[in-house]
Order: sequence, then C-alpha cells, then structure tokens
Amino acid sequence: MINHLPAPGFTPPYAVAVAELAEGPRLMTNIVDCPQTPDALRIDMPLAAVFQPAADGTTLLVFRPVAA
Amino acid sequence: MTGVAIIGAAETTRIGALPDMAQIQLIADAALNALDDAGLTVRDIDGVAVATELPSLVCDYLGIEARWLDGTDVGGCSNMLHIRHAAAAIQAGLCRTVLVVHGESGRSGTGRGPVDMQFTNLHKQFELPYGTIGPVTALTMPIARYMAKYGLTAEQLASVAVVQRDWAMRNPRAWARKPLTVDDVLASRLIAWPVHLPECCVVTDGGGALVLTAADRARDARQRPIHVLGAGEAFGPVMISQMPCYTQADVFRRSGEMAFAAAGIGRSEVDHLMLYDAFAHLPIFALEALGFVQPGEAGAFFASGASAPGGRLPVNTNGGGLSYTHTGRYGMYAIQESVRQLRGTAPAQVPGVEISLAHGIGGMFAAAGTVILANAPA
Repeated sequence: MINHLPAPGFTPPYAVAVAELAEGPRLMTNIVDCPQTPDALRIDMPLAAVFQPAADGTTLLVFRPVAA
Repeated sequence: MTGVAIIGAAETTRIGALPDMAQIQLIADAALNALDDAGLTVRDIDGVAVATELPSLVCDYLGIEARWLDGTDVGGCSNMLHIRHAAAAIQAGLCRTVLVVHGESGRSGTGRGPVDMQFTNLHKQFELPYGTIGPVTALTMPIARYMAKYGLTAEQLASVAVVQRDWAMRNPRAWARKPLTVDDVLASRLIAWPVHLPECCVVTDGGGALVLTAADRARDARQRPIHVLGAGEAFGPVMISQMPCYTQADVFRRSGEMAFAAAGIGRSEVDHLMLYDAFAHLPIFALEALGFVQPGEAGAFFASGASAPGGRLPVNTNGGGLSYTHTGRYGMYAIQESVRQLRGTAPAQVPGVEISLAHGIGGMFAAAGTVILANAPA
C-alpha cells in the first residue's frame, strides 16, 4: 500500500508494508532507499534490515531492497 | 433458526451531513423511528444494544427501563453481533423486546468524544510509527498481495464502486449519486495505492435501529416480521500486520460458516447480499470467504455485472458504504437494507427477495459479524 494522504512525519507518497523475517515473524514497516512506486515495490521482494533513528529518540526497524 | 424476529426497523429521519444533531440525538431519532415502525413505545423495550455510546446512557436518554444491556463494540459489524446476542438473550428469557440502535456523528463529530480508531497500545508501538494513519492505510494493506496472487485488475476493483453507484443512483437518500464509470475511478485521485477516492467509503452522519422479539410474539406485530435465521461472529488479530492470510479473510469465513450452520440453509438459497464496503476490496474478500464464489473469482463476478441491477445476485443495493452512507460503523445500514428488501420497501427493490445476508467487518479484519434474515420462518 502506498499512502498518498498527509501523515505526521511522512512525505507522501510513502509505502507501508508488511515484512516477513527469515525466522517467520511479520511486522509493519517502511521500505527505504528506493522509489515509493508500484514498479519499485514488489510483492515478496527480498529485503535487508535498516535501523533508522526516529524523531522521538527511538529506533525503527525498516527495510531496504536487496538483490535476490 | 434463532426463534427471534425483527418487528421494527428504521433509519434516522435525515442522513448525510447533520452537524445540528449530537450523536445521542441521532441514536434517539433512530430509536423512536424504529419504535414507531413497530407500533411500540419505549415502555415496551426491556433490552438495549448499542456500540457508539454507553448503553446505560442511551437508556437514560430515552427513558428505557432495561433489564439487559449489550455494549459490545468491535467496530463496523457491532450491530450484527448485537442481533446474535439479543437473540440469545431473548431465547434465554433475560429480556423480551430488544432495541438494537446505532447513531454516529461520523462526519460532523457533533457531541461525541475523541475517536482513536481503537488504536491499542500494540498499534501505537508497532504500527503507527510506520505511518499507518487509520483504516485507509491499514485496511487496504492486503489488496496488493491479493492482486499479485489472483490477477485482480484495477478495472475489476473499480467495478465494485461503479456497480454500487448504479444502485445509489436509484436511492434518493444516497450521499453519492453522480454517474460513475471505471475510467472515472481510474482517473480519480489516488488515496492509498491501489485505492482511488471512489473506492473509499463516504463519510457521513446518521443512524438506524431495530426492534427484536420472539418470533411467536412477532405474529401480532404491525409489520411483517423479518426472521433471524442465523448469525455468526468471529475474531482475529487486532493488528493487520498479523492477519493470518492476506488473500483470504479468515474472520469472514468463520463468521459466515457459523451463520449458515445456524440458519441451516445453503448459499444458493440466498437472494440478496449486503457486504460491508468501507473500501472496494471488502465485498471481494467477503464474497469469496462466505463461499459464494471460489477464491480469486470475485473480481470477475463484480466486473460482470452479476451484482448490479438486474444481475443474478444483487449486492449492496442501497449503494453501500461507497455511495450510500458510512458513519464509521456501517453495519446497521447494511442490516436496514436487508430488512427493506425482505419487506419489499427498498428504493431499488429487487423482485422476490426471501432470504438476505448482511455481513460486516470490525476493525482491520479483526472481527466479523454475519446475519441471515428471511421474510418467512425457516
């Protein structure tokens, strides 16, 4: 899903995605370091973890695409 | 067969943009209209079920001396659950005549507390930090995977909104009544890819109410009784990121199977469907999970016109949440349209409806409720 509506702390359009870890658990996340477009964001694309500092001082687990 | 029937049903006198009415006034207006429809007064009611305000407040406001209350709130389908709970309470002798009532100032926000979309602490920790601002970003999450798995096209998804607009154009009370084509939908503003503006529900104020009692007492009622053949409810993870399967709504399937088992009927006996549509993909998920078509077939079903005026299985004949009205919890309006179709009083009446099914969602695929209604006892 690629959100086109305004959201605090985000610049639309931005993708909200569910990532499945190799170990099994799934989590809500964002996909970074790539265009936020349907062509660049594919179902079941391989991802790598990125630990991204958030504005409130916490760290968010997000993901970036990697080669298969 | 529950042995319980709906003997009164009505919506608020006005529906749409009602900034002049507080939420409790919408509830009271719907309740009094339904009681008038039934030929009863508040003194005849001894049970109340409501999701948008405290049931005790509703009793106080209306002057009802209740001996049974249900305040279950699982979001949109809460009123479907209330019917199931009320039927059990009536059969158990806990109360005799139940008011299931809904009123919601969803557009104007007049006289209601802050709405947090049932964001739990789990949502605040694990979903909101990623920009999930509400149903538009969460409920739409499964569509991309469904499209990838089954080849659902953008045109087929748009056809759900187009067909329902065709129904809404026949309904003078519908919020959105301008003609709509698939091309119009695809050329309209993207809200949350792949969802365009007309594929999202309208946002309105309104309400509705039902009066239920035992079927053997309903024989004396002013209106033709609408029998509750069966009902179901099911619950799943509250966070969409933990939905067990993104291409089939497990809570829909379980709720539907429970309702059909209780009713003792098959899918082919259902003449008319109301499938909760906060977004255009929800009727697709519901049609499949309820067993009316095979997985992956619902997009072609809607695009074929099968659910449209004159189609073989009419769906969302009031225009649905997409075009008729959607105050936040839409379930009551779906049930009201089922009752109208069974009474033969719908603005866009389908000939010969004898059994109607109304199915709702709660939260982000976190709950489901299904009721199967008929204009004759089973």
